Amino acid sequence: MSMFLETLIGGLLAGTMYSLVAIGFVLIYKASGVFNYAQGSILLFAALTFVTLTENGVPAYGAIAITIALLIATAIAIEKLLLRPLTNRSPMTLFVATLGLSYVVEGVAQGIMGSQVRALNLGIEDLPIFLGDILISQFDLVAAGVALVLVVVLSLLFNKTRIGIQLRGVADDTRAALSLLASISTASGRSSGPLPVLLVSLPACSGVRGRGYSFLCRWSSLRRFLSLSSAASPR
Amino acid sequence: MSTSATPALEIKNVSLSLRGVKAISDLSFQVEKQEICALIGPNGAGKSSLLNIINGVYIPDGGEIVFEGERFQRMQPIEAARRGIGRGFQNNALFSGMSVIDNVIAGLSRHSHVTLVEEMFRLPRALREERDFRERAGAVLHLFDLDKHARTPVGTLPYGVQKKVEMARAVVGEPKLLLLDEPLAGMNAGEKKEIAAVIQRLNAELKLTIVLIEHDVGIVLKLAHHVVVLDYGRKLADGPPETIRDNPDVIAAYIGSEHAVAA
Amino acid sequence: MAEFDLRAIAEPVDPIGLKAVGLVSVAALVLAAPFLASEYWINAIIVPFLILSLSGLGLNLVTGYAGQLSLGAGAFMMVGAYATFALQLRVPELPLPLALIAAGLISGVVGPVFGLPSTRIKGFYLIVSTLAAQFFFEWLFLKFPWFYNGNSSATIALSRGLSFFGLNANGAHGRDYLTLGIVALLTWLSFNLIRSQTGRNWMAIRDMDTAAAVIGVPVLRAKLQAFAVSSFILGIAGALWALAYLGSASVQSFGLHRSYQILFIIIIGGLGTIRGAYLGAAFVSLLPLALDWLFQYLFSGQVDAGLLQNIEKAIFGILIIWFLIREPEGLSRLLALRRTAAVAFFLRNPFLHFLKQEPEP
Repeated sequence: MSMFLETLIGGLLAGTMYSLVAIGFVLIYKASGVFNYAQGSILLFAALTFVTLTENGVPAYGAIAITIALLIATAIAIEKLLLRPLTNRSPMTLFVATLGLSYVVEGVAQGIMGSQVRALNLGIEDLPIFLGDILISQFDLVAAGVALVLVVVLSLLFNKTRIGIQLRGVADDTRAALSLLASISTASGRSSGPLPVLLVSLPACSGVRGRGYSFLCRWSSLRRFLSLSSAASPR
Repeated sequence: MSTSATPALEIKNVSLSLRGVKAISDLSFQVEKQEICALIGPNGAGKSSLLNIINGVYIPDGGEIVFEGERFQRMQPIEAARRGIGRGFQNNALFSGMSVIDNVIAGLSRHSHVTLVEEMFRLPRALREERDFRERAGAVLHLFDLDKHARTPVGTLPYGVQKKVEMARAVVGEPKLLLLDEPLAGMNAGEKKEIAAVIQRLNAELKLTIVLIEHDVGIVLKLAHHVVVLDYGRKLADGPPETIRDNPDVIAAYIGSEHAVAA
Repeated sequence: MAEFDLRAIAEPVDPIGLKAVGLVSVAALVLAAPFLASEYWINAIIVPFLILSLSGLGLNLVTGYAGQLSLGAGAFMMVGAYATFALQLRVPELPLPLALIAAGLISGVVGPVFGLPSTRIKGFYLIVSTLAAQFFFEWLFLKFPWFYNGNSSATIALSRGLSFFGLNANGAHGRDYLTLGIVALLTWLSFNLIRSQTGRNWMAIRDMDTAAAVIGVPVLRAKLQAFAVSSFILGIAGALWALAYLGSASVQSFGLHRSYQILFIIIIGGLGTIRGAYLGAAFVSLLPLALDWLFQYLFSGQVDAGLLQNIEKAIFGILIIWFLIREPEGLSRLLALRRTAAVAFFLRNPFLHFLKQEPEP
């Protein structure tokens, strides 16, 4: 019985992380019609950047900041160079374009930072916690906790901020909302930059089950969420 | 069963809802053989929806379509085409990656009888059919004065010419009933005259029954033998053009509004 | 718009019978190639190039012509390869050419099964269905030792080599001509097909499927035919890849990366063109060589193989994106524009006027 509970809890904790990945996919697809094949590659890019930075003596917080900055830059570049020129093209074209993007990101990231397997130490000790005779991984708990926080932040973002409401509008009726969005962003003189940044970088970082990586990704996307939602809130 | 007295097309108590909104309610009328029947009415009156029901793109909620004496609750688009219902769309629905003549020949698909293997190895039957199709398409292109565009990629042509290609594609399969959705929209006066003349020739020479939607009431009254006026999915009037012109309901609901000047 | 005008002019004008001249010279070159090229070139470049072209051709029929995006090219190649192996092993009386045709037919039956969802659904869901083919066959051919005759490395190879009708095609030249013959034949058949009503049906579905159904194109049948013919060709290409190029193959030879490679070939070469498959395959085969040569030249030979591979990957990605944005019709369109420019040059140049012919009616 305890074996069963242990597996169940472990599975549920892992499941929360998968659900984040799923949310990421759905978010991009619903909001932009893009089935983003490159999510995994951008994830790899983020993790690889972080590891490379820490290995070269950059302190963890600095490394996180630089990684986030790089990811945002990448996302803006993707929007400008890839998504914008392909506006109004078929979903198939967009899908294949993200397939191409995944090749670029992987090729560049591994070309610069190497493709060998590396370990990442986040300074969190993975000591098991015992609940009676049930063993729970502390690391999984932390990761699931972060995932939970992210989901809460996400729902706040979608319900309370302007950008979230715009995104929901896009999800409901893409065509109508897009024409509206275009007018909104031009009228207020604000580029629609943050929107795709959010779209591309956020779910890309929502993680795989690889421990260090998943934590890093959750962490960095949480930070990005906060910075973006504050930037996007009505002035 | 199908004597000359049977109407070409009968719409019987047809209703349709699109996303919960009633587009057509309990509509009935008849189209006689070899007549040009015009559907008129304001935007959103359900005209295009009705054409979509007739050739099977939409499934009606109720009622039936009787085509040449055979009754249908619903029809598959391919079945409608096989039975000889041709269709032109409101916004051109051409195959943009193909040349004009290939677009037209595609309209002959229902007459194709050769197998894949015959086509692959260019066996005599396949070659014969190809030649036959090219001749038939060529004749129709000539009818629409499109000969010089035959090999042009269709996407590069101006709107009015595309409209003609689309009609050619609908006609080449020798349908018995031709449905045209605003065939004259977006054309200048000269082009309108030309197309109206072609429609009349199709009707007179090929004995085609034609149901068309058109907003230019002036042309409709000259072209059509029979006019059905729709408003909010209901039939407002039904009869020869002369009676439609003087029908007070029609004037009030449709012609009486901004279109009065056009008429 | 200017580009479109160019093509509209380019189509009917073929002043010097360029096509015929081109075809004859290409044919001569191809036939002579084995005697001009070293064995290394035949084994490592020409044979795989030909087979990749054939695969591109197969995928182009269903994706470029019929508009059904498929990520299962590798799967259908796998089916063809394993079917040929099984037939050669268990029905040894069957000569190789017939075994290849039979394997193609088996693959051609499997293809429509996974294409069946395309008659109901579009887009992403179809990708999922073709991806399912990819994963299903990788699993199937590894799971049951019957498919690889229980050998310890789970690979397939012909026990008797490539011999048929008393001919021996095991040498470099033999394999080259065998591949060439098959590729030429299948190209001719595909060419005939896309010029016929079936080809027009496919393109009609690709360009606007609702309208296609309404004007009487048998949409369901045409889609399944496209999957069938495509996987027939892919099946034969897969058999050649395993037996004439690799010699021995496993499911890894036809993994997802193979499906992507074939897809990239037709995007770079040109969707919906026959020559696009050849141009794309040539590009894919020659790019690694060119990069290798370039780096040798720049850094005098000191380049890490892994780095080279990553650079190659990034270049492919960039090209895919570039072509999708700038030239969805790929290299074949770029080439057509060049040709138009060349023709225009000829027409302007009075000394070359003697070459000019009247265009065919």
